[in-house]
Amino acid sequence: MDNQPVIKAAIRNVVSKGIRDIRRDPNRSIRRLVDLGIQFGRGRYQHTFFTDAQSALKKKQSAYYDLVTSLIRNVEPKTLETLGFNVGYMSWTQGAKTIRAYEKERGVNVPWTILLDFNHPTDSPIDLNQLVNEGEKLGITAYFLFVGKQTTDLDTLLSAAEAHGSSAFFLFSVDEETNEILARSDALFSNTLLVPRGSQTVLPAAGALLSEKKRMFGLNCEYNEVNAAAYLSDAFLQSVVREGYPFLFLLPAPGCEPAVRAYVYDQIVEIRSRGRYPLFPVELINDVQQVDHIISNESCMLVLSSDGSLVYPANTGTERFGILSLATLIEQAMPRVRHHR
Amino acid sequence: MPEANITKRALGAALKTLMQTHAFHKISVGDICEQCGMHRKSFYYHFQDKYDLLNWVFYSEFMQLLDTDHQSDLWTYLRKICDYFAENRQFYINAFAIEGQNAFSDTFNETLEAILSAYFRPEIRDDEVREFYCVFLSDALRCAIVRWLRDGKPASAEQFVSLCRRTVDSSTIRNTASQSAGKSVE
Repeated sequence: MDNQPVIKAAIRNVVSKGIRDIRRDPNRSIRRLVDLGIQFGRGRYQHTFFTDAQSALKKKQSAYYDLVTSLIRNVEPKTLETLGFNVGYMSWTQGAKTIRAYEKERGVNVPWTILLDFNHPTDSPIDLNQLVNEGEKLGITAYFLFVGKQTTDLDTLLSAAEAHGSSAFFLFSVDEETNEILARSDALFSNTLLVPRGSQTVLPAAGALLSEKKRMFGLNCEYNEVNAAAYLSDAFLQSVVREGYPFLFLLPAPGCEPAVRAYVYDQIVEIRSRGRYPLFPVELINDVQQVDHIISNESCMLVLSSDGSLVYPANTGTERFGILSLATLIEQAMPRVRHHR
Repeated sequence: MPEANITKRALGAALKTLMQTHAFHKISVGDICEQCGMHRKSFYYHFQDKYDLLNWVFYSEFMQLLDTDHQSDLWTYLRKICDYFAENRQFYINAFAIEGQNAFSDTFNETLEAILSAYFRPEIRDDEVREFYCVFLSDALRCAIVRWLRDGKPASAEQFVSLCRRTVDSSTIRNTASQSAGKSVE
């Protein structure tokens, strides 16, 4: 992946200048950075993302101006630059290109990201370092890690994130205790976004600490048939904004009905397009699949458990990372349904 | 192309046209708007001032030179930049002549330093030495580019960049860097 240091330095310099300009002259510079993204974003998802953003910013009162200005003022510049570059360029441009070439050659689906559920006790934990090494070769440079009280070795996971400076890591904690451990940790790096767990009744205290440390962070909440409407309510969204969370990730609880998931996703898309809140809400599963659909024409998702076994797509009993390489696992579990365009 | 980019391009094209015949300090925002038939309000929606527009012209056209599909080393890229400067010779002669707080030279140097730093990172591991070397080299390259642009009978971009490359690659400069870096240069 790292074969274009000169081009990457040139692009990173433009991103860095864009961020500095926003600090000096927010609204104009935000619009200009988005326009530049449309003009030069060669990845398909990147283009879709920036076109949607441009449309939202046409409203002078769009709360996204406040959201971006707040991020620039409150997050350490290197973190903003690194995460923006790793997601926007390394994943959605370079990674997407590598993925499409590999898919075309091998007739498989390669996901743009991998979701890893580390909140399960295991005697043989997955080697994240090895997984990311293999993933980067396939063009996968974004990883969602779910950690909690049952995570075997959190420090090793953080070290692996540190070792892969060109990838982006979204670290979701799933309980209050882990929220606190991660928020207090100094071992969080500029390529890592921390997402503590909250609920419609209790927002985690970690937000204030992360804000003080100028980290990039968001909030994750698990919804189901009963509470979905509450998470989409004005009162809840306002409370998330008040607590200073710039991102909200909604995750379906296990067994949540597909119809509820579809409803929540539709509402999230609607909330985003209205641009009323200085907050970027995400329905994690649908949004991950949507990005994949745009990159690959065919939606796919890969979820692995802490021992490397397949969670999604369904495990037939043999597929497990660690025994199989990532490339072999993907080839066995994720054949393409249609031909590549 | 989105409407916003069309407006900005029209303003950029107007500035480029005016700078063919006028020094930058003699051009006002009003002149730029008159040149392309736009309202001042449109100008200020996109740009803070004429310096902002000049930098946008450079960055947006400079980004077009990036070929993310292929491996591109420093010299291939510098050759593209110099070809582009040659095509816009008078515009950049005037741009490099701007002095003071908003000097275009600073914008260009910053870009060049970032690229040089990435290029020399594997060879010069010591951050302090590499930073000094890249600042020094970007000053030198910028001065050479300005001199080349102003030359009445300039060499082609290919010849010019080839000479720059031979100069930088020559053992004299590399050895100087190595000696000053001591153990830190591998």
